[in-house]
Amino acid sequence: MIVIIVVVVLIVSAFAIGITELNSQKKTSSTTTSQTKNSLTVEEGLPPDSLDPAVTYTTPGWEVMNQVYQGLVAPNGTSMTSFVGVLAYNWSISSNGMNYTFYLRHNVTFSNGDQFTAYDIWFSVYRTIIMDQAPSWIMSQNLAPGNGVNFNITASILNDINYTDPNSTDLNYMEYPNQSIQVVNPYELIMHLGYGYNGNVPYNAFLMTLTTPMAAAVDPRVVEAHGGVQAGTPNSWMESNAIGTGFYEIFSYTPSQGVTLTENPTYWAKYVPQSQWNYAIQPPYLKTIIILYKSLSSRISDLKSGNAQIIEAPVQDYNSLKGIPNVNVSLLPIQFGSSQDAYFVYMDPYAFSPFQNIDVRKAVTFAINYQGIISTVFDGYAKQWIGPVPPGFPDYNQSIAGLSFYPYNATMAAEYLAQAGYRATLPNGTVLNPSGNKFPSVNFLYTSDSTSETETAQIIQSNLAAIGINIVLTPLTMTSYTSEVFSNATNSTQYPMGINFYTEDYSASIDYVDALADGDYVGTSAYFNESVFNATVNASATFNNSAIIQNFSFITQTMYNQYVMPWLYVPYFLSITQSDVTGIIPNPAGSGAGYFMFYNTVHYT
Amino acid sequence: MEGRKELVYYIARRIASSILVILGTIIIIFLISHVLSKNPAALWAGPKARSSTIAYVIQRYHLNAPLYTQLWYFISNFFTGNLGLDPVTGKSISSEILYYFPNTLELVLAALLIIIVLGLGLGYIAAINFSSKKDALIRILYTAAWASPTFLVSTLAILIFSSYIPIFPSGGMYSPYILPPHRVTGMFVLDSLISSNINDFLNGMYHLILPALTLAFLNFGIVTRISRNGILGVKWLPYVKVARAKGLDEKHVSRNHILRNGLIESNTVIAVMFGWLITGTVVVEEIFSWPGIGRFAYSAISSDDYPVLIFVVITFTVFVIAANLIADIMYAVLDPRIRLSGEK
Amino acid sequence: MKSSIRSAMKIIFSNGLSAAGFIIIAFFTITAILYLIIGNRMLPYNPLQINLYQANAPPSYSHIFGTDELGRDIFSRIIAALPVDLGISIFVVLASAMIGLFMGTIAGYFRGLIEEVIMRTTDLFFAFPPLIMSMAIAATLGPSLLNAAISIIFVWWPPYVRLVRSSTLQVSANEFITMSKVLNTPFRRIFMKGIFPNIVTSLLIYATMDIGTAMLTLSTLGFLGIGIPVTTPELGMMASILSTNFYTYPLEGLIPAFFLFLIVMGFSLLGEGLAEIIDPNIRGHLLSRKKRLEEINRIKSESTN
Repeated sequence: MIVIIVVVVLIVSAFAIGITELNSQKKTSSTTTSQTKNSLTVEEGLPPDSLDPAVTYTTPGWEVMNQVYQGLVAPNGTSMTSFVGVLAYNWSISSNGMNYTFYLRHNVTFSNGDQFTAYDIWFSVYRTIIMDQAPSWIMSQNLAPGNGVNFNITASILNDINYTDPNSTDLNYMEYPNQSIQVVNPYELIMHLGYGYNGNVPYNAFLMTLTTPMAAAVDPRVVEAHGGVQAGTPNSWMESNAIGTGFYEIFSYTPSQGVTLTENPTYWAKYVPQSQWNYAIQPPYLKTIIILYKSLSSRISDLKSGNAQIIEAPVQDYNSLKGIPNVNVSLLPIQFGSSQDAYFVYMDPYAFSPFQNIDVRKAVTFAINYQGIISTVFDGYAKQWIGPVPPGFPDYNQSIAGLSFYPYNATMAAEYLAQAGYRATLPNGTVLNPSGNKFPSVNFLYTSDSTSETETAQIIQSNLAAIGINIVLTPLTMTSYTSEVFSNATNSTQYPMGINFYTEDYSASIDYVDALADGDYVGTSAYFNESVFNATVNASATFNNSAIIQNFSFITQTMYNQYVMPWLYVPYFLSITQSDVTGIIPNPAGSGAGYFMFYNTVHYT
Repeated sequence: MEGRKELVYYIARRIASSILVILGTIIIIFLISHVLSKNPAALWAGPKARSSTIAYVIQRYHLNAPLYTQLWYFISNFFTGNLGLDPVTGKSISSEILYYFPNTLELVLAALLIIIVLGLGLGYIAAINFSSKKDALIRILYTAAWASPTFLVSTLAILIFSSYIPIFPSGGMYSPYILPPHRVTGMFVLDSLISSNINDFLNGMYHLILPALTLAFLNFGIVTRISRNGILGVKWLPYVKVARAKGLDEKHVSRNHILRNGLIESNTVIAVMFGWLITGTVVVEEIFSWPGIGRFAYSAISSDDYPVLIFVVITFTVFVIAANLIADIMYAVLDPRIRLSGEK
Repeated sequence: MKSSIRSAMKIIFSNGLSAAGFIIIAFFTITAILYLIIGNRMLPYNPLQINLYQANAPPSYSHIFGTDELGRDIFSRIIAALPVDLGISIFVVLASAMIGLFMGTIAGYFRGLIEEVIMRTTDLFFAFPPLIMSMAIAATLGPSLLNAAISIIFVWWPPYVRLVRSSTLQVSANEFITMSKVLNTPFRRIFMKGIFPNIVTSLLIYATMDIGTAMLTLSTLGFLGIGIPVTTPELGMMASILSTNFYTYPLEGLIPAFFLFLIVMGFSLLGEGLAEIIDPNIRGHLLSRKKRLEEINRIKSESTN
């Protein structure tokens, strides 16, 4: 009996508190002025995979990293080829493109008070490469812990060095000139390209790779106090804690519920003259940033009630979100959106020999109703494209010059299918080549977690069935899907066909071109073409823009004429905020709510 | 004296058999996870894993060894608490389970309290108004609750109570500006109470109510039905009739005699219910963004995170077995006939 | 046989709840069977036909429940989903009942070591978290209706073994079976003549009530997108659209969810009504209110005498 009474009393009191709290929230939001609004709530779908900058490989993880950690440079707002200094105030590139010298800011501190120097960058980048987690390739394309001859950095060397007050042995390691990262003095370092798996060539997107969390400054003293570096193994402590030089620090992290960021009280840029600030280092306007991970319906409901200032929602909700009062919803130009997911269909001729016939590939290409998919699945808010350079990225328009999007033409598709020797059906029901074999049924792979892919796959299934090709939908969860599709081992025999996409790892056209054209992917490797591969290497090694365009357009033309991959769509991305939120700078490399880099510039009007 | 000896013997037997059952479940789960997944090393190593990581996984889980050796390592690792690292998050699996499990426990205990109050109360009302309109209404209500899909009730609850009439938060366990208190039980509400932080406690309660009510609404039916039928069962028993006959007024009779005896039956159901609720929170947690173990299990399933899934299932199983054990012991203590007639 | 059906009907219709439940179930079952026989011709539209120009249409004369995100007619899809949802749930329950009948009678009749082994195995499977275990198995096996059914059966059978065993224990005590044991009658005969007829009623009633619960589990798998092929019309999977378009086109998910609720409600009502009739605690008191009052008065007057 007593238990029951206690419970009832507790429930009633919590109700009462809840309602009063709600009322007080209402009051504050209606009566206070912008100067007392110090916190911002952002709501998204997926929680971070990790809070270790050497491990995280998803947008929500990078979003937190970009607020807490800083690298040498940051992308300059909307441009993908110019940069602003963050921990480096200046840098120079040698004429052959192989050596990058960085001049570091003095008086930069980590949020725990530790002084930042070039030694920390030396440690951090090698740590990323030696830990060898999924995203480490971004660094190891061009950098390596050894020079292949007489010098090799290991985890135990990293752990033994005193980074605050290095002795001569320590300095012998860090100042050795024939290595990837050479420390010149505590405030100057040189990065030497050519040791990584790209080989001894320059890489024109190298600065962009340095803007990723993989190159962010981690405090070696903190890592060493919590388990140090272990080759090939993540560090448990670093997975859920973060101490960096950035404008925010982690106040609390509740896995799969949310992250609360508060202003770093000792943020170094506060003591830098305002004239030297740029958008990537200026101290933050807001004291607190709350990032919550909720279901879509909760997110929209919190946006409506004013409990969330920024939310992430799929482009399909554009029309309904536009109707909410006091909320700004806009379609971002196509290059924005962390996802910048560029979709295509792959066909693997090694796994399924009919795909070796170009007429079959043409039949499939012309059978897909591209515009129908875009208007149904995305309410029209996606763009058809021609790859591998994604739309909106540098040199897209030049590289597709003279080409038109793959058309939807069921008649042509059926004719090509008949020409390839199979029975085919015209839209009016006439059967072409009735004596031919029926096209054998084939498995069709896509990600079951994605609503848009699930819908697209069903449309493609009905499109192909219309001309006489039966596909069996075989979705996999994201994890199994990626281990199937991204494994550069052999081609999949079980899934010869499917929907594939590429998401940027860093904002550069070459990131997409490398992945899609040089044979690392299932289905693309099948068309591996030596001259296309050479063109990707040439495009990444040159600093001459017309040479880049020439190589890109050669790659694009070759792939287009082979009907290798029916390019599907690139969806638009939504920016959704309360109307009094301002200062958001969209960035192609952005991960904040999916489309901007830094929360320091965000504030209320 | 004799009875006590027997009770102890009975309890010892039940505990022993529970331990055997736990061992059995571990073996079955082990076999399922190793036989059903085609390439465990690649799956466990996670997406975009490098060959070095896969080699590490093979070595870590002894995937090249014969099956019985693997099983031996598996069991010994389990009992030494060495569950390894979660390949998806890189954290230790035991720490993740210890983090998520209390959160679910908090939700389930809250729902259970509501179920007890609501379930028993309605059952009592229905029973004393047997065959009346009230009775019929209550029965239709709990039948409907029992038949409702969890996803429908949860989504509607959020829609109604945090969007149309916004009196509750739409998810989460506590407000993000709160720094969680020192972990004692791991349950936010209890911990904040222990560290006597009243504001945190009320904030936790405020976040807890809607998901707990949803969970309770979906599950109170069985308790109502059993308490109703239990009370109906004693309502016409001879001693109740005698009590009535002695001239005690109907109110007194229903309160003291009928209620107390009718509730014995519900006791064991509630213990079983506990195990049931713990495993049934996946959808509620998913929709209410509650960082509990059900949501964790779902995310493990959708990312093919087998090492985690195995231990989550084992944790659940152990809890269910423990809940059943407690239910049986309670029943044996309350009702001596059970152990006298033996288990069979 | 005919008379037993008639008496069953009589029991069901003696109680408002079970009558309502029975009517709901009968309606949907008949529709499902009709659909299985006639096929898509009985529907206004092909439930699988994608029509990109009709996507997300609101309810109208041509589409009484509107169309879904790919322009498929929701009414047609609900009808087409009935055999799937009902069929798999019934299959799951029947398979579990068969396992229960087999293992339960053996345990209850032969006793001893074999009973111990069977019952401990049952305890073991009983302890698995049902939904999570089903999810895990369905995810590992891959999406297909059979796999979904298998994954549910895996955790569904233990209560049946317990039920059958305890009924068998009760029945075994009766004279016919004791006599038969003495006379060395073969087990098959004892089972058919002595055990089966005595336990089939309670087994059937339990199984009927259980179909609704199985359907909820199945649809939860569908809602979470695990185990059910994506193009298959299934009510839970149709409702899963709620998690993405709740604010844009809520009806697309709510209507299938409501139908799911209605069918499961039918089974719950039937079960609730039957329990009333079967439960020995209450059976004796299923008298009219008047009779009860009479009884109470009689006791009162007796004791005052």
